[in-house]
Amino acid sequence: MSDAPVERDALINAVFSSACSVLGDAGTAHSGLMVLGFENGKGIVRCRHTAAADVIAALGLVSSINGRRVIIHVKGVSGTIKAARKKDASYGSAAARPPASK
Amino acid sequence: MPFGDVAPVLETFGFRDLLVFSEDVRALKETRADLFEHGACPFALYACADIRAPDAGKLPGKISAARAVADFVAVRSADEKVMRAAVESSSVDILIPSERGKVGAINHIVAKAAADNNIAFAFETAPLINSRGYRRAKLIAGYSEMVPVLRRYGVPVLLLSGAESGYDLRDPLTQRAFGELFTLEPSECRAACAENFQNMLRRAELTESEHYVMNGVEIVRPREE
Repeated sequence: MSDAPVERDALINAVFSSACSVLGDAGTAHSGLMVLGFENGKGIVRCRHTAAADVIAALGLVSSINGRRVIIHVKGVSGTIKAARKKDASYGSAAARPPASK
Repeated sequence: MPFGDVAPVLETFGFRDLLVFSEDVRALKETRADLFEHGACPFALYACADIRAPDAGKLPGKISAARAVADFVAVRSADEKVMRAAVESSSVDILIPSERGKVGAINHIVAKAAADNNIAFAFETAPLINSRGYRRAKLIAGYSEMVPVLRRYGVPVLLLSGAESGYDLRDPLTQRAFGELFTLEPSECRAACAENFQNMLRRAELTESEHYVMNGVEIVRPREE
């Protein structure tokens, strides 16, 4: 949440900077943190399930991007990217994808 | 972010009850209806007195004055003597053991007295969000040192936002993750975000009811058949 649009690169920088600050460089590497996609203010972050709480805390500690105050709202945690997309149907182009035919 | 604009953020995060801290509770209660400009307040709003005392001697007077007007009473101090005086008063509901980014140290006596008087310890997350480096590390270390002592005596812990701006607010999932940074167990984090607040509200409702006599004594009438 921000009063101005946030660019993808700026978000990735802020997330990794916060993670390195909280978890340390080695901790961030071991967490497997990765920003998979970010568009229209919504995105998916991947990490090891054992590091989920640490990564959520790191995301929560992002307070500003490019000098503008922001809040990263964690909508949920899921085991698969498919399920994560289902949590927020409005996210990304995947929402418009037809269900896979069997 | 004006206070009225905070409401949509809180609704997105799924909050229902709002505990608003103020040093001037009387003024807060008078202006409570005007806090949300866009109509009726969508939350149950509770006024909590935020007491800051420079020394323990001035605390009892401030507590009794606040108790008369506030829904809840919180004492904020990092000073051990003030904390000790606060937990020995049953009129206090919440103790915030940090002030201006500094976290106080607690001992077993303070923790035992807090448990006996049902006083919750509150950890604020806004200072964590707004600090960096050494100050943030000291904050996490300070809260983490308290957790084993509080756990030993079963003192309820609350995770407060301590927000002074809408941008200091975080969703419950993030609040729980902050709790885990303070070495709380996942179940303790859940309780610190929900159950301990509910217990506090229930106790407040009970003490205000006409059936309440004193701690542990309540008038129970048999059901009319």
